Amino acid sequence: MARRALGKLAIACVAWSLASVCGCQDPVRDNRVDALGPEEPGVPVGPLHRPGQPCLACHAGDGPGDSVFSQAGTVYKTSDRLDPLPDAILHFIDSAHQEFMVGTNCAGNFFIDERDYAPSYPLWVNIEFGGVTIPMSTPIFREGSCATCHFDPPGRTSAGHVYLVPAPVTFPPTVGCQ
Amino acid sequence: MTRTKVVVGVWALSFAASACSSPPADQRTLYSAPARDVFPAVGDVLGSHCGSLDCHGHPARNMRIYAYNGLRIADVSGTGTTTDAEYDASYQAVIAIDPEALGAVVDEGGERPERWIVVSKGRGSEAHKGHTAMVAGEPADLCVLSWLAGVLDEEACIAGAEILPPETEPK
Repeated sequence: MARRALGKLAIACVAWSLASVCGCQDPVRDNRVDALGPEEPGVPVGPLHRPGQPCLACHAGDGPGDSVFSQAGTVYKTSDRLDPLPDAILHFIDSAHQEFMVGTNCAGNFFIDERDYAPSYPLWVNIEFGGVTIPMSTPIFREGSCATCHFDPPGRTSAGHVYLVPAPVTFPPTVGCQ
Repeated sequence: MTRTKVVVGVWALSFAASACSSPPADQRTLYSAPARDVFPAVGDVLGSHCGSLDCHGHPARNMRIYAYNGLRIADVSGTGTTTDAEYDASYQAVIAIDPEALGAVVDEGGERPERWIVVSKGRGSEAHKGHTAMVAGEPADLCVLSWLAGVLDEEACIAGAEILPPETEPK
């Protein structure tokens, strides 16, 4: 009887050990995802959600987002407001001369599936809109989420949100976003 | 207990005690470091090649590079020029990395610079999340090496401070 109980205890210990080893969670990643908060009411999960947030917190391949991005972010019209810039084209070129272009949607969001473009860093990017092309002044060295370095307010550790022009200018009207 | 055993025991105890003792609190070990006065030229290179906000321009890094186009000391971003306080902070952070190897390289006139981890990681010749940040023999690398050798190559530093996309690289 005692031998049987000991056997069960041993099995339980092995199972617990295996569970703790296999159930590898990344608490840093989990905290980063939790810190993003809930979805905005009325905005479905998809290409328009969570503008301005670090996309690869969830879309880097280890969940919870299904899609895996190599680069993703949100572009705004100006430095002083969070008006999204739709229909901008982002031109990427990496150190291996691989180029890729992607457009922003009506939320200002863009995203590149890692199967379509896996850049060799450093990576340079220009934003093109209405015949104007603005380069990002420094290359990207490893980060796939714009918002990791570009968050508000601008300060010693952030360049502020990604924008096309610093001063307010008149942009074509944006028609809805759904 | 014989007299020999007692002597050996005392010796073993004193050896063990000395082996566990820490160095005196006032002990200082000094290593040579490359020059501070010419560092701004090197700092500009490191700022461009290492100091982006997603790499060594992050305040959590021990090798923190401050530059106008990355991490700032004051609460400004991407404007103005790199300040002397920022060069100083970068210098202090850089020379604190692997100081024994750095001192040996400096003492030997810049010989075998790859002994210093900043060079070996920067060249990507050992594991480095940022891969090759400074290609061996190119201006950025030559600038750092000349600084370590005590004879700054200003032209290399100026050229190395710019990091251009492939299509616009000067031929």
